Amino acid sequence: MEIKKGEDILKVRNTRKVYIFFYLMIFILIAAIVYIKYNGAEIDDFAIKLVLIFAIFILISTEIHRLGNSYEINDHSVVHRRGYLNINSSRFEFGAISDSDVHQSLWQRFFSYGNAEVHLFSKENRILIRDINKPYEFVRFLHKKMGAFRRRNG
Amino acid sequence: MAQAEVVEGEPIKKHHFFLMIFILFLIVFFYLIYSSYNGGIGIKDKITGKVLKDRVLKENKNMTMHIISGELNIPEELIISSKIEKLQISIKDSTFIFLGDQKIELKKDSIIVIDEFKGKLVLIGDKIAVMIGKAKEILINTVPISKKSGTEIKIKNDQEFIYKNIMLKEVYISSYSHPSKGDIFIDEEKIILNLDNENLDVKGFIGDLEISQGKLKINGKFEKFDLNEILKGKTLNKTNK
Repeated sequence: MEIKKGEDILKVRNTRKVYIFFYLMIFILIAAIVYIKYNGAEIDDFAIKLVLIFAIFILISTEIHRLGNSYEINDHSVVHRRGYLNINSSRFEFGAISDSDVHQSLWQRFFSYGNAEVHLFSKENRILIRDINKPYEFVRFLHKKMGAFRRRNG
Repeated sequence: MAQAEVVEGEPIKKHHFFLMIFILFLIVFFYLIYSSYNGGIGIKDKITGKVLKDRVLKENKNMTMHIISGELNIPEELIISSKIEKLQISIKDSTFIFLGDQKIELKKDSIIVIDEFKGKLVLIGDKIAVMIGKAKEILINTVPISKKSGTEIKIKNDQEFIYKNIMLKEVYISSYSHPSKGDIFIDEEKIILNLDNENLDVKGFIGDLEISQGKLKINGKFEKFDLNEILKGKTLNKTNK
């Protein structure tokens, strides 16, 4: 579950389900090793090292990639943070947001993740939140927060 | 790779990264399969193939090597997991071995010669318990069996077999420590050891071994020799030539 609920803040990152193809590659390599062993063939040490390096590289790079973007919905705005060492933070006040959509492909529906699109009043701009787990839940939380914000501010 | 972002222009192209990883995956996958079933494509050898020999030679520069020769009883178990330049086995009773995917029968009194054996060889008394590895060329009763150039032949036994004699040329043994009986000559008979079931402890041996008629003949060089066990016992003859 990528959505972390605090008391009144929602933080999301890309879901790991996006990296299913990458994890599948690791799985195929491990399955191949098991198959080769099962058949009694001798596995080259160098090949095992290659598989290990590849798997570690994939796991580390996907985790680093996830850390590159985060979204937060708080009491009055949507905040997008980008970057690793140098962080670029963009804040979109609820007053500037008009509506939102959810887009899911068949694959995304199958794994229950997708993209949420938050539209701003100025039509050229939108916040596209790609590949988050349970996007409907994210949008529902946004609408709840926007409703509360509007009630507070008349 | 997918990415969450505020869209102010086009999303970053993710396909290049995925393609790069996928190509990398294919390379690793095919190397894994090919090296396991076809004896490798030489990459490993180029990187690691001569490491052991190089390591020995490098160490030799810093360490004085001593010449050793002698005739001893056969150790109960001898495990060798380094490269053997030439391995010659004379089979006592008929047996089967695998060369690649082929199961080959070795008839009684067959002689198998293996060039550049890399793998594991376990001798238990007069039996070969394990012989798994790769070889550059194999001759069975002088008939050469080789694969297309650049590839190695996989060799494997699935049952232990008895040998009449076995000869290992240019083999490296990091540590040989066995209760031994027989005579050992060090540095051209400068030191003569008569062992009577005392522990022979030699480190960094490189040379030839031959086992025949219940005797192990040693001829090579070594880095270190531990005399402690022997000095606790009895005979140590030192002569000057």
